[in-house]
Amino acid sequence: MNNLTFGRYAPFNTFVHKLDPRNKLLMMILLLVSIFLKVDSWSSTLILTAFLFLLLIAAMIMSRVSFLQLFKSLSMMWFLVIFLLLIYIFIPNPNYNPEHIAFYIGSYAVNYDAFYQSGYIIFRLIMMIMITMILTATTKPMDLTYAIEWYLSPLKIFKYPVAHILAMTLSIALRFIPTLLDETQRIMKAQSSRGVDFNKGGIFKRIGGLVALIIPLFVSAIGRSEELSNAMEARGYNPYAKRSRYRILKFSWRDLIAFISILAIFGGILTLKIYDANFIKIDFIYWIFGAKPLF
Amino acid sequence: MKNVVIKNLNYSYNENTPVLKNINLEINQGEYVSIVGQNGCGKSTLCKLIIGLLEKDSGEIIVNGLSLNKDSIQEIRKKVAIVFQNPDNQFIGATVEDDIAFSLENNNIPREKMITLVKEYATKVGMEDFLTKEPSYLSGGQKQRVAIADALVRNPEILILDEATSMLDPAGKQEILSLVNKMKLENPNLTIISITHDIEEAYLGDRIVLLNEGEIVLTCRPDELFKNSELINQYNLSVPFIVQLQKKCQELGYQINDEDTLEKIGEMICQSK
Repeated sequence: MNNLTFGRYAPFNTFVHKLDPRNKLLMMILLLVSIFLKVDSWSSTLILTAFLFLLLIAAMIMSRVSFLQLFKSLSMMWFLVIFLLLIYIFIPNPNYNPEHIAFYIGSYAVNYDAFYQSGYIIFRLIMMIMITMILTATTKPMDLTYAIEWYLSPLKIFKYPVAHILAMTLSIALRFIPTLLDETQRIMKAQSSRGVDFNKGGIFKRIGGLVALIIPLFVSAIGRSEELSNAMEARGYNPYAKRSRYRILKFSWRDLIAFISILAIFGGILTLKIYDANFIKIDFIYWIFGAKPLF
Repeated sequence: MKNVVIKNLNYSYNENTPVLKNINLEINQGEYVSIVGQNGCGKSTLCKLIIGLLEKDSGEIIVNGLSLNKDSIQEIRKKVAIVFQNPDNQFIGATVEDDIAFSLENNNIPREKMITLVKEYATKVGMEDFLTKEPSYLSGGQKQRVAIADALVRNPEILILDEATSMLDPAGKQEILSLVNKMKLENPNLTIISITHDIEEAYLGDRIVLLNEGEIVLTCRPDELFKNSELINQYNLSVPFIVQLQKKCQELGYQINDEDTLEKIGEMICQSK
């Protein structure tokens, strides 16, 4: 359980924690779209991205998300960085420009653009991770399922409680993650004591070890689900009947403030995009590398 | 008043292996009945039949004057609460308060009333400080305490304990038994059906029902059963500590009655020389 630290709910009482999960989900989507909107000129895009990045840093500080966790999760991205760089270096560049050549590998010319492109993608990925982290660290998983249920509630027109059933399924799945992790550890210990080695041997031997873990785990999970459904039924659960609610979601003044700010940022970026506004034209590329701008 | 009446009940998982054979049982309101028997004798099946989790083959089950069938099942489930064996697999809510509220949500109780009821019953089972805790931070005994709160919060007439203590450590077990005792004192009209392996636990009941291979072989007061060494040997039962102690002391020549408690016997032994 301890290695699942990424995006774990952190019980603080900050402004962001107090926001309505429905609002947070919507704001997350708006921010994600903003990140992937690209304004025409490189320089404008860079400034916008930097602005969003600073905004996210501020949000992280505000919601007391640990930066250590962020760095930990980023440390796994090295592979992706190298992979992207290789792709951009060796895929023929449609905007080939001899002035952008950075260096040669043998007789192969490597463009600066490869670095900008992969750097930009990585940067956006980092921001995506930051956004999801802020969401999951400040929102209880259960509140998220309530939010999803709320967004799906228009499905009521099908006279089948789709939203409720989906939310209930999700919440039970979330509720049983720690229980099943404990179970996994127990089975691993039991199988190790019978001579299964999960860490050594070739690939086939390891897969064999995994089978010895997964099959008992499934058997136990199915047994649990049977008992769980019994317990739910015995307590009078009926998804088709009218049920009252213990948890209710409240949209407060905080949500209004947060939502309007995010909407304003999103609207601003969208307007720039639509009107092709290159509000600033500094040739960063020329400035940094002495090469002429690409776009 | 008869709370549960079972007439000529038969049940089998498949045709060749009957699990319950011609069960006849009446349980009065406020009674504490222990159902004992060996593994696979049909104890748990019987209680699943009472709340309609399994469908009977033949016979009749009447709970609180209502005959159990498809139409009355929801009504009956409002009156009967059950606590199962595995503490993890009956914890449905994300936190203690959500779990207690789950039963209330199912009964469409208004939210304001729910909030007070959740607090009240969490306090009753001594879990008021754990309301926002998740199940992975609770011990087995604490989870079972929550399960009892879940069961009682709907104000049932009948509480079934289906080996509710069998997966707990001795401390957790004691916790649950004293809690059940306390609930019983608070509400003497609560009928308790306790299904158990544990002979000490069965001894707490007003009446013992002994099941063997799907048949009721005996119903009697607990002390009557445990004084009868013939029956004990026949069904391979162990004898509760208090009965063993009484017997030993009587053999040693102490003047001991069957109703004497552990404390009283201890006192007598200390006073005599």
